[in-house]
Amino acid sequence: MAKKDKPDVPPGTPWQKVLPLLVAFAVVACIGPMLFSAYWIKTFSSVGALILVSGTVALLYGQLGMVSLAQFALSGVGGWVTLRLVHGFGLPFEVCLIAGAFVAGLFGLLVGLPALRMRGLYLALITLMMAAAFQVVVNVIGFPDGGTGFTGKIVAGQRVLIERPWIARSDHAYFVYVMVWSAAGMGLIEWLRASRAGRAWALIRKSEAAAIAAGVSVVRYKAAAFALAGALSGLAGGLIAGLNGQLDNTGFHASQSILAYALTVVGGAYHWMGSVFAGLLIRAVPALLNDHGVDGNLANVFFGFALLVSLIQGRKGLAGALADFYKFVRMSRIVEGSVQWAVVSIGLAVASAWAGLTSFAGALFIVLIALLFRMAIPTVCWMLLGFFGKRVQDKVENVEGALSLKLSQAIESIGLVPDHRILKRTLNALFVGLFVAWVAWGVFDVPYLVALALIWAAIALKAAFEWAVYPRVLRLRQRIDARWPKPHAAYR
Amino acid sequence: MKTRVLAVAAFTAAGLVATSALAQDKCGLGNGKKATGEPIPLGAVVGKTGPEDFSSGAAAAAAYFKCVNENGGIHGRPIAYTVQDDQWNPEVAAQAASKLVQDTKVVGMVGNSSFVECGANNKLYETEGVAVISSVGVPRACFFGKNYISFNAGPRQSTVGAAQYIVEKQGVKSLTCVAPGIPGFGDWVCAGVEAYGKAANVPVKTVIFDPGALDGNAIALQIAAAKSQGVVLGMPRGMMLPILTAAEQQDLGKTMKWGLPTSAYHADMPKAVGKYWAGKTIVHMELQPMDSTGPDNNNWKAVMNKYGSKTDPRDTFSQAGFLSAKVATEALLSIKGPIDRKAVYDAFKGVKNWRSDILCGPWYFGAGERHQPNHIGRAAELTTSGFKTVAECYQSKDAELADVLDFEAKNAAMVK
Amino acid sequence: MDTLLPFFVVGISVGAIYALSGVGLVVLYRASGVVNFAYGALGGLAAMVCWQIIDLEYAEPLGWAAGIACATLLSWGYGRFIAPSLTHQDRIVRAMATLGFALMIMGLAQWYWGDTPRRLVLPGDSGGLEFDGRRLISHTRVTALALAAASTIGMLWLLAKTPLGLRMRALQSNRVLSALAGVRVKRVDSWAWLLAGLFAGVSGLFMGNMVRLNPTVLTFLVIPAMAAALVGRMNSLGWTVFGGLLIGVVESLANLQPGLQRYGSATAFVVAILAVLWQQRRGIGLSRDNSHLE
Repeated sequence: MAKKDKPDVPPGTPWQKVLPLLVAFAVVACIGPMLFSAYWIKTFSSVGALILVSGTVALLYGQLGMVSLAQFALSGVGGWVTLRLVHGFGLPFEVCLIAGAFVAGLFGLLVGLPALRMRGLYLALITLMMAAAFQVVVNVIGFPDGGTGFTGKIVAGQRVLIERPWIARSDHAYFVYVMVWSAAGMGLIEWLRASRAGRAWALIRKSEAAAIAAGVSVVRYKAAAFALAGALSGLAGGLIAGLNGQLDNTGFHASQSILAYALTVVGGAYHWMGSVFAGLLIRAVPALLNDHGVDGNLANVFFGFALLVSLIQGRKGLAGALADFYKFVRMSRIVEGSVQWAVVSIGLAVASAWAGLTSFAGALFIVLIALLFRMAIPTVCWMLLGFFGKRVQDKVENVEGALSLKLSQAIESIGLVPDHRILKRTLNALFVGLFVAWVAWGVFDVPYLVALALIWAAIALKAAFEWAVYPRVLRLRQRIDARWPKPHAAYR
Repeated sequence: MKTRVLAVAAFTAAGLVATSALAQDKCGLGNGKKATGEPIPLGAVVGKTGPEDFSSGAAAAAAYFKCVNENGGIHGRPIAYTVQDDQWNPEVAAQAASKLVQDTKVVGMVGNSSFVECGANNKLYETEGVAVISSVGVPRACFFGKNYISFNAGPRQSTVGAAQYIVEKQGVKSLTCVAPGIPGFGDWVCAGVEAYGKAANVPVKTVIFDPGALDGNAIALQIAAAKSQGVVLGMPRGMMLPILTAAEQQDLGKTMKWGLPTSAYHADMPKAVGKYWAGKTIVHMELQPMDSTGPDNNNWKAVMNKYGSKTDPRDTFSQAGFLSAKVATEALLSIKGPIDRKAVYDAFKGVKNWRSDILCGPWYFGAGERHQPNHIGRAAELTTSGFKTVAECYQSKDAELADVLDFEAKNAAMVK
Repeated sequence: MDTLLPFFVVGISVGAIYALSGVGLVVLYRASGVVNFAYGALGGLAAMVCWQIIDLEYAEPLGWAAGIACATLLSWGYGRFIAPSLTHQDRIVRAMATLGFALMIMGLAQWYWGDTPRRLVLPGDSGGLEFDGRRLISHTRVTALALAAASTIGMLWLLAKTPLGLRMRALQSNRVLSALAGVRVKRVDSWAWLLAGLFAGVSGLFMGNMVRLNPTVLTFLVIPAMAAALVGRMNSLGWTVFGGLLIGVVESLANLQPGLQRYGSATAFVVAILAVLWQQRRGIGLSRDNSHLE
């Protein structure tokens, strides 16, 4: 019996699933304050809270199969209660935060009531109506800013911002604070997903009749899911209130709840990394564009396109694609690829910064994007062709194959050994270079030729690496593959 | 090709060029030499992307600073002016201010104009010791900040000014005040009208609406239901249009007198609202009419033509931006030692009894807890092709100005 | 009564446009099973294109035609090229995909035209029917009412009496059996999307005139339209029209009551939620023949 005959079963215990999440959040919480500028610390604090909101959407959609388009409105509820309690009673911030989460959880139950007897699409529409109704109500009563009475709204007077908790007064400290709460919330979600509750939810998603037959109390589990989702969203809302000291009606339009759902799907609703991507997409990408004066509406166009593509592709999102990648690619290739990426990108970034052409971070960013696009562009092109139908896809593939063959034969006749994918790779490299360089020039003000040179150098170096290093590390790769086998991977 | 702002803006620019008798395009030291020293960082936060584009003040300030940099700079040092968009979102406004104050380390802020940044950032400006000479302040917080000052009278003063005119000169006996429910803005503006109404014995009804779900119909209906003799719209220009459209459809211009604040004073307003409203609408002006020929006004027009872009609006907020940049430049030029944040703060705050043909009265910063030096304006009537001034400089009768007037009475040096 | 009448009249006219939008949504849902979130965005685009053409000093009818054609074409294009890749997925996914489409259109329109305040003027704006010396209802609104009535009757006739309508009803009843019986599914679907685009374009023009000419605002006007459709249970055209008119009138009359004025815009949502709660009092699920929700 081979010693390494492990079956391909994902880690089972809840702790095994939660630990990577906690470690990742801890690492970011530690490194963040050292790396980020004042602008980005504030942005990433917001991202942290949005990761939690996205996590609740993912819980409801990914695990339970229910679309809730009202989650961001529920964080508005939580934020409102937090603000009112801090202004009105001067209680410690954490107490108000928990109270806000609790009330938002009750509202979440309210949102979930229709779910008890409704089909998915009707539920989506009803939650949308609720989010829109919340938008109207919050516009009338406003968010508390130091006044008296139930609404706590100051009329024609000095508006008051709330103080941050005493342990997290500075921007950097508050970032860590948000990360801690976010990790706790996401950890709770992951824990439940991996435990009995998660299995009950998954069974309900599969078939309610089966769940009832298996003895699962459908009503109780659905209610619990919506209450939990509401509570955690409310918690996130309270955290955002603490970040800015105030909340604004404009931030809680129904469109925000819709975007939260859409980008959760794009990021991936079936894994916690997806929520992280979603948080980054919702807050960090617009902040990046705004910082460079690019119109935020173009971000919306991109998000809409990404949503369409994700749904057509099978709705696993970015995280799902990454998870598939991990599952279907050999460990040795992953290790080798990562090492090569790191060496090439850091090396080029250092060289570029030393030569004064760009900053270290800028060059690093461009090279990494180029290497990423090198892998992603062929897939995207394939998908775009798919819009026109399978016949078109096949025809294009045939043409490309024929040309590639001709090119390979030509290279062989010179005496070199060609890669049979050489045409694809050359076209890809050309396109990625020209396109990403153009984006870098337009958005980040990097001179076009500098960006182009960086990108092509990165691609060339990586190819050279692969070609030069391959025979030398063959045995090392075999050892890695033996240690971490991947039953579904292709061994080319 | 984006058709950004209307071609009318370009035509207006041409028209204004034609009417300017003395086109001066010199600024600052005015010596025609390009500044090449170490840049002085200044910043601004504006509400550009959102329900309306409020960046014309910063655009004018940017043009003025370009002119200064071409004319010797600040004793040889150019000004590096960065404008950040807060997208009408307090969260983004806080991030933008953090970036400018803590990352870019600006020595002062000039030309701001935003609906949300005063409330979000006043505290940051105080703790970091940054003085802000904004072009246009909008919500209440902008006029009640220790380090924040602007050149406009504010929407509350301007709306009260419009209400004042239609009550005193057109015999209106009851008013409706319409304003968007933006925190620190809508309720504050209409509270001013209500206070004025109380003092003038004119009953005032208030209609507050959700700016994000602006339904011209609903508001016109509410105005009709209120049945007042006069209506004042305390809001940015863009929000006025749907309301005026719906009111026209219900023929409310026939039965009511309409007063608009200075945000309506824009060259394309007559065309945008249509012929129906000519002669029925009064517009309050916080600054001088755009086509007047005083030296500062000509300077503004010349600077915008030479250093501004064709799509920059030439409206009253642009004039305010020009003024903010001019005052800031003069203050910077007066600094004797190194130009750091403290020196700039003291210089900005030390401005007193500053006069311009664009303003009706003296302008000053000073060490007070709040600042609102511009409280005198004019009124114009909307015509089919433009505006006709109907009242020269008059004081706004807002009760909230009591402490400012008191301060001016006690500190004559500020205003004389 | 005198005070109520103008409010009632305005409410009916706005409600007529909600009804028109609702009818378009329901027709599409019945034929293809997709709730079209892009409805408002298409209408918004139609309104902006129309405004742009009129602003460039071309003839007004050209502007209307261009705007409506834009919406129709885009809707048909989506239905022909993109929707087929999703037919095997469940209804939610197909609805969310239209959401992606809506975000794209809205983003592009908002980016190109920006937030500059504009007005879409239709010729019927300046005249109107008088009553007792006061303007009661402008010609534009009368046209809207007439169009809503005409198009509803037209759709009812289409569905009941024409071969295309018969095929649409067959598709709604059972797609697979219809395909087996020889109904050309893609073609009928395309027609449904085309009609939906037509409705979207027309209602977009009226909304742009009556509410506000702004792409984002017009995109989210799909929500009240959906509320009207929900009143009609996403199936009955008559009830949808009733729902739309009801929402319009209640929204308008709410302006009379000082306490309710600011909550007026929530009418659509409240009506929708109440309607659905009433409808599902016995539980909701697909009908036995899978043709509609009940």
